[in-house]
This record gives sequence, C-alpha cells and structure tokens, in this order.
Amino acid sequence: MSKSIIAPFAFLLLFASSALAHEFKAGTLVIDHPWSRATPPSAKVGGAYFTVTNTGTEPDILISANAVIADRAEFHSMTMDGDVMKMAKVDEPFVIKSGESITFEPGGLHLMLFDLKDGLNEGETFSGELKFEKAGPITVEFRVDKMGAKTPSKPKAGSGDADDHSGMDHDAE
Amino acid sequence: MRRFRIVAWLLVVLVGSMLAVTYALRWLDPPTNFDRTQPLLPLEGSFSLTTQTGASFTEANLADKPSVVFFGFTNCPDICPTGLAELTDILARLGPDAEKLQVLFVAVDSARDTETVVRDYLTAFDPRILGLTGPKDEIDRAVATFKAFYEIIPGTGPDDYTVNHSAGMFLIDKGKRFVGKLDSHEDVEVRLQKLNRLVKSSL
Repeated sequence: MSKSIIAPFAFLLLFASSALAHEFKAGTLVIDHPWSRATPPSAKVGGAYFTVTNTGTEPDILISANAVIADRAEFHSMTMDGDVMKMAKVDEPFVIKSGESITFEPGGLHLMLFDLKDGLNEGETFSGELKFEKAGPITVEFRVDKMGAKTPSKPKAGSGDADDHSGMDHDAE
Repeated sequence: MRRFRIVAWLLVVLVGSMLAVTYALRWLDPPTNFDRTQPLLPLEGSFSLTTQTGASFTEANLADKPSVVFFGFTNCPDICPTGLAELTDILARLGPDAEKLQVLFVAVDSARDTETVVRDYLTAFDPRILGLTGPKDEIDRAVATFKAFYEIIPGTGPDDYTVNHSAGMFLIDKGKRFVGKLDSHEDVEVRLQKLNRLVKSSL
C-alpha cells in the first residue's frame, strides 16, 4: 500500500534530478552543469559558470567561449584585495591536466558576457560554445538560475548517478 | 572527607555569588550603549547626488536615518547583483525595522549609470533601496566622504571598461559616523544582526 504511493514520487524525483543536472562531453572532457544567473533590468553584462574535468590522459586547453545571447564573451577573474573587488580579463591559457578540473563560479573565474541582447531570466536556457585546443568546439546549454545565486540549484556534481540518466548528455564528434 | 565537602560547597557558594554580582551589575548598567562599544569615525566631506526618482540626496540626508551604503555599478556581473539580492532578502527579514534604515546604492560608473539606467536596474530589488547617481566629481566627493574606493579599468573596447570598487557595505549612524561594514563573505544571519544593532543604535 505505502510502496504503491511512494513509487510514483520516487520516479518523479528521479526525473526531477535528471532534469536539473546536466553535463556535456567532448572527447575525454566533461563539462558539468553550465549555468548563469538572472540579470536585473538594463544590466548589459552577465556571468556564466561551468566545470570542465579532463578524464583523459593528455592535457587540453580551454581557448575561448561564447554565448548566443551576448555580443562577446571573455574569461574574467574576480578577486578581493582587502575590501576592494577587482575584476580582470584572464589571457593566460586554461590548461586542464589529466584527471584535473577547472571551475568557473561566482566569486571567482567567470565567463563574462558582454552586451546582453536581452536580460537573462530565471528558468531560461541559452546555448554557447566552449573551444578546446584538442577536443575542439563543443556546444553546451546554460541554465539561468536565480539572481545572486552562489551555487546552481541542482545536486552537486558526481553526487549520484542522476547525471547518467540525463537525457541532456551530448557527445562531441 | 567531611571537611573536603564543606570546602567544595563553600567554593560553590563563592562562585555563585560572584556570578550573581556580575549579572546584577550588568543588569544595572547594560552594555547596550552603542557609542561606548564601537570606535566611531565621523564622516568628513560633502556631496550632492540624485536618487532614481530625481530627489536630491546630500550628506545632510545621512542624519535622517542610519544608513547602509553600497558602492557598485550596473555593468557588474557578480558582486553588485549578488549584494543587492542578498540585501533585499535581509531587508525582508528585518521586517518593519527596515523602514528605520536608508539603504543607498551609489553608482560609481557615472558615464554609463544614468538615473534612468539605475532606476530600471533597481526594480529587481527591494524598492526601498535608493540608487544615487551624479556627475563624476560629485560621485568622487561621495566616495571620499565615506573613505570608499573605486577605479576604472580599461577593457577591450571603449565601452567595455570595468570598475574595481569597495565591496563591503558601510554602516553609518544618524550622527554621520562610520560604525562598521557588512562583508559579502559573512553569513546572512551575521549581517542581519549588524543591521538590527544599527537600527537600535539610533533609537
């Protein structure tokens, strides 16, 4: 009796979590949950975030990235110098060694989106492209989360096999 | 053995009475006087800015209510919208006490952040947040008054420059004195308590 009540909810949960977590693959690179945040009206810039993990044996380099909703995108760092917030364009290549990850997240490295065509609204998605030296370009989908969110609203990366059930996985050629 | 027990009980009575006296003294003279527990730095300087609804705001308005002052710009991808979103949440949690504060967002990017841009931008946040704009020299005077900091960092294109700026939110009492800061790394609960204290300091 109780099992028959729980079962549909268990299925719902399974699908809900697979709908929230998403990842993309380019060769041996795994790009986990690309996301962004809603922007206030008349804001012309936004930040986009993701984690790239190199599961292969050779290092690769993240060269550039762009998003369809922005005129231009650059890799920027945000650092605190005492109480002063500093932002700077990062020109050094992002080398991702075998078995290592690089994370772009609020309060740190971010993909700076310039000249947003429209504001970003919570719940929307937009596509973008990450370009790697060896793995080449890969199209990813960014999910827009709450304004000011410090982490995306999804289960933590690698916290279960919800990712494996995801219908959102893409494999690059 | 009996003597040991008597000594132990005497100690209990002694410690107990010491605690009682300490609490009684604190009760008679509660350490709630804000002025006595914080080093207070008076603000020096004057400025004349405009709110997003076109009203004038000068240093004299700081005497109206205790103030929370945040410096930023609308082309800021991270700390400004995050700070304003968190502040919106904190003001909601303050409840009616939020009315006893004035919250100022000083837009330090005078070239891009016009009154209209800031008005639109702030519609995403608590409507009590006042967005202050003005010509560069008045912005500079306001920044100097609060001993805050900003600098323009050139970008790839002429309009792509970014702005490094003070990240903390300055807490100013009605006597126009600097009483502390909210830090973006602090727990929201801690910031809420600091604002509660700021409200009480000016009663």
